[in-house]
Amino acid sequence: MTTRGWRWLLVVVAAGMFSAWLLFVTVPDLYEDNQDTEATVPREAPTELARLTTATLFYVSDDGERLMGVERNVVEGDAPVEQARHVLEAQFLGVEPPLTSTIPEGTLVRAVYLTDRGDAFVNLSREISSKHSGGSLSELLTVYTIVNAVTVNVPSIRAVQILIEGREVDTLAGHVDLRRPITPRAGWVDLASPEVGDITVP
Amino acid sequence: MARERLTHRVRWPRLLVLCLLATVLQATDRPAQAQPQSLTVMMATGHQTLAAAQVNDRQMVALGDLASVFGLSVQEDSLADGLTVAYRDEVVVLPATQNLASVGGRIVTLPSPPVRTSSGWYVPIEFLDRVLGLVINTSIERRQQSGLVIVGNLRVPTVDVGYTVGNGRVQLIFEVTPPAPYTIEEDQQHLLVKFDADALDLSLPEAASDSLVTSIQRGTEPSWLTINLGSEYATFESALRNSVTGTSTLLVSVLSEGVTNEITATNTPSQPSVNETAPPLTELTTPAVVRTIVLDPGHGGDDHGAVGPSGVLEKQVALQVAERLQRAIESRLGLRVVMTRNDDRMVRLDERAAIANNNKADLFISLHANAALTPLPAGAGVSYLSLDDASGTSREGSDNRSVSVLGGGLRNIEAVSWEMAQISHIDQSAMFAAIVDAQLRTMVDVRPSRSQAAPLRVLIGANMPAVLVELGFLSNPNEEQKLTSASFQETLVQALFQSIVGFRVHVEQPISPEVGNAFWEEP
Repeated sequence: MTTRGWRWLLVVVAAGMFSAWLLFVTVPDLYEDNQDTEATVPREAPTELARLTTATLFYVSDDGERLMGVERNVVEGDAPVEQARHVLEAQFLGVEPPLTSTIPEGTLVRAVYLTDRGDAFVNLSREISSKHSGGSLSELLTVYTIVNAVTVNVPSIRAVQILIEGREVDTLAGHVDLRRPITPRAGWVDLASPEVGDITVP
Repeated sequence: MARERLTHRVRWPRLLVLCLLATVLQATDRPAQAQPQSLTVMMATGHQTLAAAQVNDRQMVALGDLASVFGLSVQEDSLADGLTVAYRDEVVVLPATQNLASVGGRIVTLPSPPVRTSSGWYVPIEFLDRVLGLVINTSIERRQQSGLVIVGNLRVPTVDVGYTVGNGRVQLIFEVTPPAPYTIEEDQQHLLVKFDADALDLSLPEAASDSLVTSIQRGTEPSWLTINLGSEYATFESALRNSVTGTSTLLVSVLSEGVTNEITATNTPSQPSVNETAPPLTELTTPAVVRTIVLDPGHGGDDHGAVGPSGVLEKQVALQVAERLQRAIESRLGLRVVMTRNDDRMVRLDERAAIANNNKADLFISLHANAALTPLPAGAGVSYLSLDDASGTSREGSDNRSVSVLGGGLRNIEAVSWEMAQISHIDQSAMFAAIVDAQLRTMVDVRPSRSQAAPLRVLIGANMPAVLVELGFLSNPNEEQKLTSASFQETLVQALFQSIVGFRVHVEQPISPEVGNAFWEEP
């Protein structure tokens, strides 16, 4: 091979190495950063460095008919929309017996938006519907878990509309109307439960 | 004006006959001997006579006769010390010494154990409706007074006939329960009253011979009545009155020549009124408000709804109960029923309300089975729409607009978005929900909470009173099994049927007591 040929080979090898670096190192990093802004996986338990605050989360009451409030530490957010997201992420984490979650396993919080009039739009992953067990009671408890968790813990939010994968939906499982923001209802919360924290439902 | 009036409203004295027979049997000290009577078994294929007997002071039927009428096989089971009665795959065990029956593992109590007589085994007549209906998977209604045994959803209204005579007229009174449509045909010697039914459970008065009406008898068809007319007959008039008790009263005035119906003539100035307080006959007719009912079996197709721990699907239970309820309403109330789906297919929620609206339904009942996140919750329940939740509206959500009218000027109309159609019916929906809740509580387990308002998507667009009934919890293993049983489904249907009857009573304009008294009694 001539000297010119060696030079060309060297250029090709260098270009290949540069392309591999772009493909396997730089682009994945960018991709992961983008994912982090759009889809949020349930986060780890708050680190010691994170500021914590007490929030009321909602689970199935002992009789299975209603919700009961349970106080838990969650990451404190700087803004209402950030606080709502932290509350929902804590709410969506799995729980151990005797608590029973109303949220289907694997459901993720994609995003939370807030309007000037205090309506929060909570964009959830499709598991909230596709893995729902069905039945109007289960569906009501799931919906009011989300609505109450957000409105009780973030007072500036008055109502919540649930979106699935960015789209408006009729219902989760064929019963509860989700086409408009829903206001919280104390009627679905077991206020007599001894585990209830300071719930102030409008 | 002094008027002669006789009133006869006599039922067939069947109970009296039964009592007399029982007394005679006791007096002759023959405790285990059978004294034949008869029941009439009415089925879609016809009717058969079934001998009943008084055995040990209790009305019983021979198992052998039941076997021939219903196609049962009966065997003595010495190991179980009793009898086994089989129909296809269903087996009933009747212990010889216990007043109960086991039907597929379910225990049903009976007034007495089976009794062996010289002519074979006998079972209490309650065996028919309590046990046999479960075995053959068909409702069986036994009418003690008339001795009718009605198998399946046959339309057999009770018709009690009475009459008043006097002043050149005979007024015949037919009390029909439940109400059934009718026609009256006339020829020279007869009036033929044809009820739209499969048969009549008829109670005729004692022989009434008059120059206007010589007798009343069964017609040539099971649902017909023949009024034999006398020599002075000239014409007749009829009117229908629906009462608050779910009974309609058909009034037929048979008149002689020159006599007008004084009730219809009450308000005619040229003719002095005999009864100043009586309204015209036509006013006795109550307009039927509930004519069409839409039944909405929830889910369907790929949407299974809730699934029980054993795999029972909500969509199947909802459809089965809806079909049973449809048959009951059509056969016993004569109302039109529209189903949002008759098979296993997906129907969008908006389409369900649209079906009801396009059929101008008067009542919308969505049928579902519930599910919870724990196995504990149990019981049926009923909900109606809460306007302030999902709909984001209120009773003031309608919009008053002015529109131009023919000839000039403006007219205010109330514009309500079609998808908010339920707004103007919330009060009646809540009332119907309360009726359903109360009826369910008398027949099945019901959730602790009373009927409640919820943001239910399927109800929003319904332009009529609308409720969603949860038949029970599929997530509860016990209720899952019950929801698949024919007997439990029939019980639910009976509760919903009675709720519909109760709702009709509430919404239809009742006849005031004064009007009724004015007709029946002398001033």
